[in-house]
Amino acid sequence: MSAARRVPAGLAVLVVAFVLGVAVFGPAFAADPERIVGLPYTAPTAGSPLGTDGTGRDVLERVLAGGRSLVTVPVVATLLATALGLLLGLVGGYFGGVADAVVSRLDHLLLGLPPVLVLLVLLNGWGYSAVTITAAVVLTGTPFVSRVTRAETLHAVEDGYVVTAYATGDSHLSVIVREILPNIARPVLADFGTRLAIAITLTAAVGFLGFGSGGPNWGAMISENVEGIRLTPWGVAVPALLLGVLTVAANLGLDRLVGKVLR
Amino acid sequence: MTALRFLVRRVAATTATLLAVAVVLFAASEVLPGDAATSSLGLDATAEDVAARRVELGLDRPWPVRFADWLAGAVRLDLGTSVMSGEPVTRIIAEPLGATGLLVGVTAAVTVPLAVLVGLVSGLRRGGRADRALSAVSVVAVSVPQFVTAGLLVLLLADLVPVLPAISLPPLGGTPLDKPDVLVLPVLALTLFGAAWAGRIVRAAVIDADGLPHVEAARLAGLPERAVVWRHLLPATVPPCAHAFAWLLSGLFGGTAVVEIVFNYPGLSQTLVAAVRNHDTAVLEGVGLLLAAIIIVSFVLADLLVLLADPRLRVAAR
Amino acid sequence: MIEVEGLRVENAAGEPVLAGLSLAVAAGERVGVVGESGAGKTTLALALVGAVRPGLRVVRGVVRVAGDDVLGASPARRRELRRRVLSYLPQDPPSALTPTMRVGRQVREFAADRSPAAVSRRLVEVGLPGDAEFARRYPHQLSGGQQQRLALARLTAGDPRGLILDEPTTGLDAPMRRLVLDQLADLARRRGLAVVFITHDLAAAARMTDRLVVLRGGEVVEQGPTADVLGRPSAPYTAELLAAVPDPRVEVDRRLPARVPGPVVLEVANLVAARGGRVVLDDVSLAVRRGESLALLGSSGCGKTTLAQCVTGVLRPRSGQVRLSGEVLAPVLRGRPVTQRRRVQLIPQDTTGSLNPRRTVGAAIGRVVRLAGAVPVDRVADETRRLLELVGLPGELAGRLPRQVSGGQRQRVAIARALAAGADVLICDEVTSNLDVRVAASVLELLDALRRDLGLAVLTVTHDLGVIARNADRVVVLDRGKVVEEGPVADVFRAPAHDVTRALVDAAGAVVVPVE
Repeated sequence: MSAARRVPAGLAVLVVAFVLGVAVFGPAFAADPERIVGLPYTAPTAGSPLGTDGTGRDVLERVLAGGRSLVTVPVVATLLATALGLLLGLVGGYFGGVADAVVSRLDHLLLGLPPVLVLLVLLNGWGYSAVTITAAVVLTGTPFVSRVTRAETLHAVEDGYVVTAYATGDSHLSVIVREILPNIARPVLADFGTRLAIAITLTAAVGFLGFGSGGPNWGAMISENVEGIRLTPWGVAVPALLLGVLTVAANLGLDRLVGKVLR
Repeated sequence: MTALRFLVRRVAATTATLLAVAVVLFAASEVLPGDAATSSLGLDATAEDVAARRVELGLDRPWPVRFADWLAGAVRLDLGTSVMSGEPVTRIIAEPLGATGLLVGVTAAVTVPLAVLVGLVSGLRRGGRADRALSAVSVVAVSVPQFVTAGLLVLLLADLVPVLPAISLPPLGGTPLDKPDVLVLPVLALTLFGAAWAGRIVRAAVIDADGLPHVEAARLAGLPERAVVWRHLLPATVPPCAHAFAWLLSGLFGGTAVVEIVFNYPGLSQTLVAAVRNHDTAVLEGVGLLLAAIIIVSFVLADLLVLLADPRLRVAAR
Repeated sequence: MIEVEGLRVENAAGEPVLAGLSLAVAAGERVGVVGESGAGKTTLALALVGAVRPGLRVVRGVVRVAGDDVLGASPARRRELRRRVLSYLPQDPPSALTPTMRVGRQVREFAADRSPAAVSRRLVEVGLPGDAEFARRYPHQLSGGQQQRLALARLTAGDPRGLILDEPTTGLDAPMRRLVLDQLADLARRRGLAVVFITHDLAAAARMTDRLVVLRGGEVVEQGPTADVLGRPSAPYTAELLAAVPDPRVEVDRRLPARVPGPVVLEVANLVAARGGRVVLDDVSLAVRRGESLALLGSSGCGKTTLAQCVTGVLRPRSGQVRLSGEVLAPVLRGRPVTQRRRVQLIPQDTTGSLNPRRTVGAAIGRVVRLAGAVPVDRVADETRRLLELVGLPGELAGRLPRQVSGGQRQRVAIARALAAGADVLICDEVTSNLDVRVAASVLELLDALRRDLGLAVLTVTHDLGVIARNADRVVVLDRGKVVEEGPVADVFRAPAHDVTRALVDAAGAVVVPVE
């Protein structure tokens, strides 16, 4: 990489680190995001540098407090979806037959459901909780992982080294762990970041659609404050920018990182 | 008659999938807590009230009976009655479906050609300046949540440079067509995402097709580049792209949710969100089945397109 | 007509692929360019039409076609040259046909005269039907032979004065190869075309060309009239190439007499197998004894690979049995106990796929040694080294990844791994068809030596009579899923009883030096 390209790359890393820091450690610095500090939709002042929202609460406090769940819940949910998808895809691709038929039908069915619909049906039944969101992410994310895993496993089996390993005396488990996994890890994990970005979007959308806990949330802030956009844009602009940086970083940065680590 | 057999098999598979979706939707509202009786009565209802209401709504019958009933209705395009408003679900859905259909239609008309153009340019000149710039833009456009994009668009175009309406509410009693400028921002928000996402798929398909032996052979045989691209390369990109577009456009019906809400657009998503807010399960199930049907029909249409584009599937070898 | 002067093409690392090569072809002359893989044959062929593969670059030199500098020409002029002067027929010509275009359009695209009558004449010229119905067909509705002809009709529709044929018969079996070459030769003769014939197949070059250029490492080793080069090779390298492809009918006499065969190890009884509902193996029985090499011969699609797959347990047969030392094997690999799995090992055609790309050669063999448990854990490395040396590879190779060793070496690694598993039955599926002739000869020699020394039972699946002549005691000829002939190799080759066998033997790749 040339020096001219390294500077923006370094800058990008700094920005991402800053946003992540705000999301993860922000709640520690937020005093009380529900406290009413002034009139609705006031412009920035010394006391509240980003102004206030529609009920007169401090925007900065709510920004600090409202990002953590957008990192923790999607990360856990995406990890779960990846693990489950890997398991299903490996079983279907390696063992074939009935197992494969079941796995591919399941994938097909889940892929046919729009993610937002799945989320809404679950919200309708369970109401808002981290578990609901996780379930929605797992239900909509698993089939993608499982489909790629299955295809890659089939390739590996077709290539012959998998069958050869079994024929020369390895057990099924050992064949899967030692021969298949290292070779499919890269294509399967290549879009982990993309899926994380989707999970973040889904999680933020819950808040945005007004189904959140009611507490501070970057997604919710956008819809809460869009009415007052002419009075003060910061209540929409800041959470929107932070959310944008977070998803772009997940999509771009994480995928590059995975690509590099797995060669 | 390979083509006919292919189609029959697809339609059979389609029906099976739709049935499975119906089961899943119904089962979800069965298994998940809360039913129409409790939600329509409010918090201070007594246990007797709820039991009476359940009998009134037919919820005391065993679930297989109710499922068969619901399914039989759905086949006759009767999706039941909303317990909240007492109106038939089909009537509640009709108007928003039209509005969303219009939004999706206009988006498709802009997105598809744009995505093909983006994919072709960046796929044929991969690694070039245009490709790198387009790739950077599309990563951002794909990753950023649509409601964030929409929010920023409102901020920029409707507020700082107020040329377009920030809220896409059609005139009372009219349709969005009566005031077409309300469509601009929602379509723009959806297109940014759609063209970027599909553009990446088209790009990958173009790169794959570019490496096919018959495309290379056509170049080495001295055909002009335009003929190589149009006659030899593009037909090979249809199968992967057709399904991507089907997924994207049918997904828009359910996925416009957040964008519609940013702009207060009176589409299907508003209905859907309202249904969830009110625990109006009948409406939710109805919209869900409709969305699944739209998705599945688009996939069959994509299959048809692939069939048209690839004679190997259409015409039997001899 | 074609002049190449001091052409030097380098790869990204600056190593020469073509090292200052010069060559001239007169109008109407037929020149063969022969050499092994890596000799720069395809790079040369592409340079003649002004193309360079990605990653390579022309450092210096000129290629002139009909007086024009092809490499420096404008794109439009270069396209013109490719269509009207010197056309390029790629490897596997049927793959050059666009699957979405009808026959008539494929030809019309290149034709100077685009009328249906002219297109029809073009088709008739290469022996295809010229009627309207045929012109409306798609490529996949044609037979393999018709596809070959169509590719040729298409390429010659622009009336070029010369053709570059880049290994046009790769992947074809002997009878088909002969058919395609005859048709090419015929067309070139009738039109008086100049031909540059790129091949690794000396027998084909002998039939097709007036002059021969032998290429090695991007340099010309020898050139001259074909009869001279093949009849009295002046370069030792040419002689080596010639020695590696002997006439199968002569070779059978040179084989050592078969030893007294041992007991039957592998037995296939009344095997019936189907693919996609079509029966491809119909009641096939055969037996291989200890220390014996049995060859399964047939043209492509005869079912020989299916048989190998049934034996190795990759494909479940419809009916019939596979027995190992009298014990019936389960139809699929998963049902076979470890001891049985280890005893039958496949040596595949494509060893790239059979070796885990992320595991070093030594680790791949060592793992099998450890699982076999024949040696204590601390001696696994020594045993691995011993096996590598047994198959004629240096011990240092153990640390390399599969992609870092050559094709011939990978084939030896696959053999070493089979031995590590303790195999006494080897199924060799076209093991040498991806290798250069000299490398192939040495791998065959190794297999033969191991079989004699270790008493292995070897089942060789191939369409190449040269392999059988060198390595097999008995041969079973398969045609459309049925055994049509069986017997000692020498008898079958000298006096084939069945038409199918006769056709295969007649088309076999002996280098027949043309008489001047």
